Amino acid sequence: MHAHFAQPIQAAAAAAVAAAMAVSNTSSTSSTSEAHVSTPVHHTATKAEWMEAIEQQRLERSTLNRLIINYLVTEGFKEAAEKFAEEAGISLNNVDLTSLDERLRIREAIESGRIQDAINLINTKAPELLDQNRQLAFHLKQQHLIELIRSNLIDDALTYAQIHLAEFAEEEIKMRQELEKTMALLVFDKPLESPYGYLMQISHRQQVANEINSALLIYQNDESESDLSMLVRMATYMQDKLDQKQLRYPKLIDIAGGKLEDS
Amino acid sequence: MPSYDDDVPTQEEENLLKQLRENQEEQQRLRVISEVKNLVIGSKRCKTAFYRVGTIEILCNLLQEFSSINTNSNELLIEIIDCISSFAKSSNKKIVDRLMELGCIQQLFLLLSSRTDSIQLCESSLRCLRSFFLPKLSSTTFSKVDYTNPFLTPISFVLLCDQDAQKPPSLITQTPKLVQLPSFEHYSPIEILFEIPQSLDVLLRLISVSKCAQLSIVEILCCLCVNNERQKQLVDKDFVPVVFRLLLQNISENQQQQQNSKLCSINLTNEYIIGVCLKFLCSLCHENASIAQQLHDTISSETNQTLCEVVSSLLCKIHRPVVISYYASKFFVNLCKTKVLDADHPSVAIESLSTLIHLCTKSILNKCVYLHIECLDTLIYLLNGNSILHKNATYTEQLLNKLFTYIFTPSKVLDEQIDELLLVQIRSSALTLLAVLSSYDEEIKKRIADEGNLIATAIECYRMPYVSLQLAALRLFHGLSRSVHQLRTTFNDTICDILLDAIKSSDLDIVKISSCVISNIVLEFSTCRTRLLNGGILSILLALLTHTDHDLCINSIWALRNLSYLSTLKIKQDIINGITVDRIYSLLERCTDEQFLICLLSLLRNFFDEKDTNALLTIFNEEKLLSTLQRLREQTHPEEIQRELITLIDHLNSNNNSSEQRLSSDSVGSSCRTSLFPDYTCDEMDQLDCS
Repeated sequence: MHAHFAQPIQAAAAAAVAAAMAVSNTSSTSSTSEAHVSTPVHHTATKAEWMEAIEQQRLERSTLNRLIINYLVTEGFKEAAEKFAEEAGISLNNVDLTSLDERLRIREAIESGRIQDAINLINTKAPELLDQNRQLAFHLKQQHLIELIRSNLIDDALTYAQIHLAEFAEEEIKMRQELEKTMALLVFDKPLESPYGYLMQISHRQQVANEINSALLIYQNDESESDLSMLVRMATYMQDKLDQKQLRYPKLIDIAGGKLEDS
Repeated sequence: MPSYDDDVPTQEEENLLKQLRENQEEQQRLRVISEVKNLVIGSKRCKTAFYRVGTIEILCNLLQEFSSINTNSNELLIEIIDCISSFAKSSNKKIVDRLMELGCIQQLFLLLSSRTDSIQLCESSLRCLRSFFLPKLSSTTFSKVDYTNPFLTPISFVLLCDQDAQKPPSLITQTPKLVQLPSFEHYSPIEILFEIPQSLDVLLRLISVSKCAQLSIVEILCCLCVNNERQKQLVDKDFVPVVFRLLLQNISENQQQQQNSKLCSINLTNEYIIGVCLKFLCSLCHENASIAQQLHDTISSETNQTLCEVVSSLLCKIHRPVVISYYASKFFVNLCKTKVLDADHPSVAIESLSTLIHLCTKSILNKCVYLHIECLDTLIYLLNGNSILHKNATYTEQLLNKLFTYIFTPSKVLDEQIDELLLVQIRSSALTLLAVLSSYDEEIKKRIADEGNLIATAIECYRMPYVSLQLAALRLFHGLSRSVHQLRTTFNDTICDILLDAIKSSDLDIVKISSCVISNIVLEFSTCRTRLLNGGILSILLALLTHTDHDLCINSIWALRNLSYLSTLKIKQDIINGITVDRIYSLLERCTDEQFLICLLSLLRNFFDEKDTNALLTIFNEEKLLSTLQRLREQTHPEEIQRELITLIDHLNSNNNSSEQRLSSDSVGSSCRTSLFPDYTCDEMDQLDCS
């Protein structure tokens, strides 16, 4: 696997170090930032000093590998997880690969527009899910409607909406509004270029696929979010806190690329 | 009514169902059932439409047919059961009733007893069984529906008046609501399960099959604890040591999982099983003192830890899922309410109380609005009648501030759009909790009443078309009415008018709670007294004296008693004329309701205070009154009644004596006054000879 996987982790660790340094450097001052709102911004350290401090942080390779495997397993990238585990010498004994496989097939079905296949697979793997989660059931059926519109099967789309989606529109305003937007696509000659064209984008399929994937993880009592995702959000949160205290520090401006702000 | 209620299957669906009816080879049948299942799951319309054309009957027949066939038809059976399971989740009661009529639950138990070869079949059957018991949550409301266990769903609130310090305490009984079987219980899944021979043995045996089975079974057990009898049956079947062992096992596995840094993913199944085990223990000991004591005394044979120690260890931090922290707290709440633990026990006063408050005020892990409401309701349950905890609960502004937020801007509870009915529920629970907190301590009362806009908001809540909100607003007024200061300051004409309206309501609960408030605000120093009298409260109270509801009768006579305290001769005469002297004598001689008798004697004592004694004695005939009271004295009445009688007789006798002797009977009166008020009453009110 490429080394670039490691950078976001290091960058997240950098933010953690930044937070710790900022707090330790300001603790010597006699007052909190809330009491001195109008004082000048504190500079904590230069970028070079920070980078040096970051370099001194010890990160175990096994921790990074675990984070990567966790991300791949959570998101359902089975083949990538198996290859990475093999190269990194990690055991996947505690991972349910069958379940991973099933989630992958469901994701592939949704991302290729085969929504009915996805529904069938979901009902086999998690037969209670769509009864317990009406929103999920609605989004799947809405996506199927979008696929019918994409294939220009207008009559089928109208019939499908009437039979399978009307009940959702009756229940909740949000669902009704979503359905109205979807039905509005029928009015346009080029629905992709309409105000609701985003529904027709491939990214919308991915959005539904992600939603289903999270729901399936929760259903089987797994964490619905990868630790890497949690770490990135934590880094963003810590930077927000530092910004609120008006501290200058080498800010992580591109998490994916691990790029720090020049200060 | 939803528009699809009258729907029938489409032509395509009808063709599919036709194939279902036909006798086909297994693979073909499997395909058809799978398609039916995929249509039904997630679709209310399909469930209703298919039900109308007899699909449920076909499925149940297929279940029976393939259960008895001695071939490997597990795959087909799982499809059939998953389909039936989807129907059982329907919020349409007719569908669920029909499934039960067709013997679905019995058939599932038969299958679970006989077909033990397949774990997947076992799990599917248990999930289907569970579907019958769990609440049918609609997408828009969280409502107590169908066959849910009332001990688990929002705890029915015991009216403040039942715990009222002003009432003769010895005769306060637990409301029968909590232990009464719901009227539908004779045909409920719970009743059916208990009628099936060895059903509990089957569940006990299957608990070791898999984690999924454990979750389903313990959740079903939670739903079975509908009354004390059922709770006992479960305890007798030794479910307590089994579930305790399950709890310990999963806590241990969870700890190992968290310590094992080599794991690349954490599974939460252990935590969910911990949560559901705690839920079961809570429902087992709810309102059941003997089982609560038994659980308190339970010790693990493997680790030597008591159950309380194990549950207490789960309260040292807020867990994810947060239901662990919630149910661990609720366990100690239930032990406290059954008097197994004192309210000041650290597990109650510190651990549970602070956890519950944290979960519904500050917790960022608790993202479930239903759980916010559950925490509020559990706090109401705990704090109602446990006034020593009120100071703990309001030690910081955390709880009160959050309650005000719930009431003023409930949509800000969580960062999401919340359904209107849920908002009503949040506001009702928050108002009721404020009502409980305001019912004893004067400082807390003042803090609550002084909150800008609260009273106006409570008035606005009463005017909304939701009974729960109306009741909550009235409860808040009741809590605040237990204060001399509040009676003189907070209660205004608008509230009086609301109470005059509420006491004429067609809803009995509203009438009862408003009568509790009125019984306090008719006191002599209250600013509301005149407005109430001008509004005809006297005739209303007199009419309620003969109401069929016992609580309302007691409230009415209590209100009359308070009205008569230090009142003018005219008001006393109006009361006497309203009840009539003959009826008073009749009640004194024949009334067997001890609570009513105490109130009546207290009323008479208020009539005959010094300045009006002579005027009123002539109406009563002093000799007849004294002899009636003396005859009562000779009967075997409880101590409270005897004391009241002694005071009254002494006072009437001293009426013939000089004023110096009359003073000594007043000192007897003060000791009698105290006897009517339990320790926790509001001190100010205690100084007055009134509620």
